[in-house]
Amino acid sequence: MNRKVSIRPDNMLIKRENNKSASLDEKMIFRMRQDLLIERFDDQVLLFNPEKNLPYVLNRVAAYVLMNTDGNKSQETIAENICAEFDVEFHQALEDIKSIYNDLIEKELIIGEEQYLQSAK
Amino acid sequence: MSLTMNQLKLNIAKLHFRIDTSGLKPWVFRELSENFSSFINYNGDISDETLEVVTFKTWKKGRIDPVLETVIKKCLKNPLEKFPFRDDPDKDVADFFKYLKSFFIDKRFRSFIEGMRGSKEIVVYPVSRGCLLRKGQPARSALFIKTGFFRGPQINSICEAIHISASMALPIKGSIMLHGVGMRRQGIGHLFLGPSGGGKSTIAQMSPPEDVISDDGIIVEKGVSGFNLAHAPIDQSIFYRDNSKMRIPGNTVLNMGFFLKKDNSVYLEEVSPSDACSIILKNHIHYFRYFPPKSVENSFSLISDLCRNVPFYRLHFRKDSTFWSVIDKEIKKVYSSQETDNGLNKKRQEASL
Repeated sequence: MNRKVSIRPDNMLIKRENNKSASLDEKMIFRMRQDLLIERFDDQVLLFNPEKNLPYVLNRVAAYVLMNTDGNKSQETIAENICAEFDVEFHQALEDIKSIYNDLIEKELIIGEEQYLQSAK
Repeated sequence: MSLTMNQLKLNIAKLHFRIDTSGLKPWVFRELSENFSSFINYNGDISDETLEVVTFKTWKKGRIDPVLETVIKKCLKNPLEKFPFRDDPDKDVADFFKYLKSFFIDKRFRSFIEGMRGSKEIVVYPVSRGCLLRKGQPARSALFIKTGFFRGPQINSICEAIHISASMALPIKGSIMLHGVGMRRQGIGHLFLGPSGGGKSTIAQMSPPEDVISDDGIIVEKGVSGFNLAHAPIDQSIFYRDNSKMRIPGNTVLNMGFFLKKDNSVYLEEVSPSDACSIILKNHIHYFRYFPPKSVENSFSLISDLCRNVPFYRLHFRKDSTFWSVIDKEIKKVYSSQETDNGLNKKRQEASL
């Protein structure tokens, strides 16, 4: 029997004050900020936002989501990839991506693709 | 001869630092030379960082160009907003700007900031009795201070300016200044990191004085076979005018790092490399929020490398020297196998060279 695991970012130093996942439009595509400094450790990833001078530690699933946040992949595509990689149910994966995205948006580590395109113009 | 008239040439962990003190009284020059004597060992003409000390005899009032005023306020606000110890940046900016006005009329001040376009190109940092301006490219700083006060504040302003400028420039030479204590025990280095009031001085006081490399700021430098500790131009002995305790010169190979935690019992907790990195980046780099982008990148890379290669622990300790027995026990544990014992001996040998 396959053991289903949650990909919620329990190890993330980013604290969620409340669950805002419901408010996030799942059709939205995001992009990781280009100026982030990234360092991989064994099972964690260290991110550094030079604009705010703040570091963040992500667990490997949160890091996987972030690394796939390239301005092209939809949340659904990332969820499908996660299902293949981590053996988790699609709906659970999608919910957890939304939760991770809310954290990353709050910390200004990702921006909406539309917002990115507008700022690039 | 590295000490020429009106110029101090310092070598701070391979960072060549030239300080122009032509506007200062001879006694200031003498006192600075004494304070930084252990760093005066550089003879070359090329400097990585320069600091010009400019003094004012009187407070002058003058009209300020509104455009200049806006730029300066932005330069000032940017670091102050990020500075962790400021409660109200807006008030700090307003207060300091009043103080800063007296420098605007001086053409040296205007020439220094001439041509800058944004707040990222320059840092305006308040120091006691003056202000430090630093341009990232070229790495040039100017300290404007008022003269006529007692020698203490004047020397302190210059020491603080050297400390800030060196902190920001060291990463270009592959080293970094951390807020901590460096110790050399039985030939190998230990790094103790903690915030103000976190127990750094206690750790230094509870240890043999001859083991202390630096008691307030410590330079971590990447060497050929690991990371080294070197004493920094910030030291409580400098600020307390006590040069009797000469700190350990040269480099010491770093063995372990500790985040200090005051407690009733004494024990160690392992800290993962990524968490150690995060803690250091967040809390223990002197003036990190003022660093130019290139120095930030280099620092990030250096700290990541450090935490990957050096084990870090949270040291719960109380005000006695029992923490050393806990650390010694951990060292024995880490180096228990024959193979790693050789590694420790190698480190000791390298340190003694």
